[in-house]
Amino acid sequence: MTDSSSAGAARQRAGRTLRWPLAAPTLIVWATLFAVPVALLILFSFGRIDPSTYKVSFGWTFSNYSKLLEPVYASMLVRSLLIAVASAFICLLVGFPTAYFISRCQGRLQQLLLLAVIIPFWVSFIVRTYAWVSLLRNGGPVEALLRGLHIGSGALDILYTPGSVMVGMVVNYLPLMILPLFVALERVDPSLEFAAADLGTPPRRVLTRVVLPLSVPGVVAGVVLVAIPAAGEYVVPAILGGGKTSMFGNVIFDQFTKTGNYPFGAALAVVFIAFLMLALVLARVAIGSREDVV
Amino acid sequence: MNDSKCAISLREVNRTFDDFVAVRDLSLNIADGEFFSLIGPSGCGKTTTLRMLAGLDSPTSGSIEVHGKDMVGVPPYRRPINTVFQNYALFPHLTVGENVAFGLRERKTERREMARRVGEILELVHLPGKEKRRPRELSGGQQQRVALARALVLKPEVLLLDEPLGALDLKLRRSMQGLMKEIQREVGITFVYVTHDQEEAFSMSSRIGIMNRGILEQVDTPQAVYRRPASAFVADFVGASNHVTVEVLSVAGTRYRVAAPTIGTVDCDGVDGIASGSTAAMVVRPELISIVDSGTGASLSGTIRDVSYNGPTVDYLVETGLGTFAIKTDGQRLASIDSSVGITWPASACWLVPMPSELSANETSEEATSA
Amino acid sequence: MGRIRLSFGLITVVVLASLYLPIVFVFINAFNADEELLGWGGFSTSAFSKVLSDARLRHAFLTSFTIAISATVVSLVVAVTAGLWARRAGKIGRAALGFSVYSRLVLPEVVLAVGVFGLLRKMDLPLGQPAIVAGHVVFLSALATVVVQARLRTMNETLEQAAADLGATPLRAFRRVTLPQLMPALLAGGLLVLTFSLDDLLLSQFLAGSNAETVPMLLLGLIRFKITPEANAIGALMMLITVTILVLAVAVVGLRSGVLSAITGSNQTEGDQE
Repeated sequence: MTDSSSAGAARQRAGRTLRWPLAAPTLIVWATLFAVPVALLILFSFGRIDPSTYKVSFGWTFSNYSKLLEPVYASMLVRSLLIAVASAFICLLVGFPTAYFISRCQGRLQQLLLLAVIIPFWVSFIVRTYAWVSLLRNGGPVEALLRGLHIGSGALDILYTPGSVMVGMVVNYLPLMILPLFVALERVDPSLEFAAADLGTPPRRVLTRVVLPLSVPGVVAGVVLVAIPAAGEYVVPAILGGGKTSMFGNVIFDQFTKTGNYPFGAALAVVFIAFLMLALVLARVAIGSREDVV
Repeated sequence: MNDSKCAISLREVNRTFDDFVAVRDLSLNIADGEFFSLIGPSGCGKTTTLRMLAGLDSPTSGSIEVHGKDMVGVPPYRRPINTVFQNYALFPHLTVGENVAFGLRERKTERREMARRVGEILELVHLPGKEKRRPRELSGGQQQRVALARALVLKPEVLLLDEPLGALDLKLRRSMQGLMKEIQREVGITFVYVTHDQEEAFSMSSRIGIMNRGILEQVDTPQAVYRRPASAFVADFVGASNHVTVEVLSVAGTRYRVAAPTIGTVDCDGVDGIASGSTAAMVVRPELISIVDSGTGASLSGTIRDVSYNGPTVDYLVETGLGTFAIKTDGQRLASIDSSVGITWPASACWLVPMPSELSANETSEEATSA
Repeated sequence: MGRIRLSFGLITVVVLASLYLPIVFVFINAFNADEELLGWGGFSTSAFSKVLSDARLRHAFLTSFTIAISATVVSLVVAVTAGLWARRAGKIGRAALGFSVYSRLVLPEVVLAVGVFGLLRKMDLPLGQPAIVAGHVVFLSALATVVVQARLRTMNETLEQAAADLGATPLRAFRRVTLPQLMPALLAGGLLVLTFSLDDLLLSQFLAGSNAETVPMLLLGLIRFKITPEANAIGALMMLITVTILVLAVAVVGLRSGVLSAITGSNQTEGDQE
């Protein structure tokens, strides 16, 4: 008791001399490279652009936001969200069994499996993505495999569709789903499962009634970790969408680099941030105050 | 105690945290070469006092002097004081030798001299040749001795020890106490030892200070503290004691005549300054009470509620009209549970202390932990 | 649980296969003599020799590493100061730090990219390598902070107090006690930040302007039209570099403490307490 309060006092004292110099780097980075840019985007989003000089004049117009309702952009928006959510869901579907399996392995094998999941995540994102171009193209190995399994015949035209974009998303983001799930599942004491089985619960029900509810924080964290970057993904649609399946990220990118319509691009970015915040709030609610995983 | 012989002098030291008073008006002199222990329940302010001596905390008001030099505002790294921390605080990334040499390196000690002194001090703490080992390869008792060596090697003017044996088991603790005493005698450095274990403090110290709720209640030799406690709290803390609430009839110096319910009038010694006509607490040590047949010259009669056999002694709890009495006997006479007995003690076994304030010692420590 | 375990094990195998299939494919095709990559045209290292003698690629590698190393150094400085600040800060300071880390971690890259891009344009500041470093530092310093803080949380502050007690000034205590204990986290965090920076495409693309080209940018340009053995050779080289770095990181600090906490942001440090 006395220990902790006097440690607090010592901390206070040390703080008086050192606190600000130590806080400075973080605060400077955050203010200049996070807060100001985001604020600027919000300002831009209400501004106008001069089509001849490309100069942005700040104003107070909602035209950039109303432009979002045009069918082209509205459908892009819906598609982005759908692809992101669907990718996250598929990741969860295959990630959960994987994470559960790894969490119930022991010692070295577990470490090895974890490492096997992590390594691809650190291996060049762009390389892993374009590899799928060769794998998914007509006459490629995946097509051959599907035909071999009698799932399809003829040219399957998988590449350059929303489907191929989702394949890329799922495979690229799977580690981000598996790891938080693993962390959550590992904390679920196996003896709880034995207890449930002992009470006469069949194995499948043990999973849905004991393991799944206890791993909710991991599930939510995984979904958020996958859905958010997927919604704003640029590389995957650019490579595997073949310019036909553009998403949020690509449209924002193009507004700034090609069209030069900064205010509209900024409006898109602001809408994206709004969606993001909504998703994070929902995630918090879903987890409750249980854990700080997200 | 004159100033030149005084290693540590604290004057009216206060330390408050927001609205919590950790140390209140503490004044204390510790002589050079003394083995001084500060004891009290957790949250009593003893560790805060130690930290203020070390320079890890500073007093809200008051002065702290070491050999006549003012220490307030002097950072820990400039004080002639070293500390043995509660959990040893050995640097895990350094070997035993490097740990012990840590302070010597800060003082830019020459390499060969450093090695010699590290070897010497490890010998003193019975760990010769352990320089190359890592702290985590050592047992708790060995780690504790490394922490001791690391502080002693700097030949501090004062060594502070914060519950250094707290993490060790009982048997190891007793043997470490012996070692500690031996080392202190050998190096002659002033030791200030903080513990909540009064037995430990009694066996090692030349003098003891007892703290309660931020207040230093008594400073004296172990014998004096035990025989003549300054307050009901001290009497309780340095060994179980029994209290009887009495009325003071007359005072003559430190000699009192008191009236106790059921028992009658008793003449006894006590703490100076208890007013005639006031209520006070008469303390009786468990080992000074005898169990006799009920009725024959007994001071009180009661029923035995609990008996515990401890080998050399047998402890009883006897319920009487004045409350439950703890009694420690030599076990010559055995009484069985629920039997009616009389208890008695000589007048010389009584010691009068002021009435404790409403808060008992137990409540104090509880309050402190929840604060 | 036998049957469930078996099916889950099978799913795990399929998952791992889909994770490694593209990687293996790139490696194999880097040695493919068939320029069109329609089938196996025999073993050839000509793609590698072509790539390794390409001046533009060498330049891109240099650019990538310059940016990555600068971003790593800056990120670690920010992370260490932030970690030490968190120990001393009061409630408000901690909340501020927590929010600044969290917000930087969740902000989508594309939003960050256009934001910083817009700012630089507005201030008439040049695009190029320094701009890319600045962009990378926003996210990567937050990532590094998470790793450093996870480690600091397991470190006992009494050790610094013990150092002070033994005569070390605050600066000396930092150098002799705090820093050595922080080293595993700095290594892990640093190597992770390095690989992230090396691998980044979007921010670099936005902030490069016309005079900087990193390896991923070059690669994207190459594969726009056709995937060639050369592109696969570059990809294989990049993967070799990142895997080497990752294996080093794991070898130095272990899987749990560094890598896992870096990715999940959770505080998994049990296995690491010395």
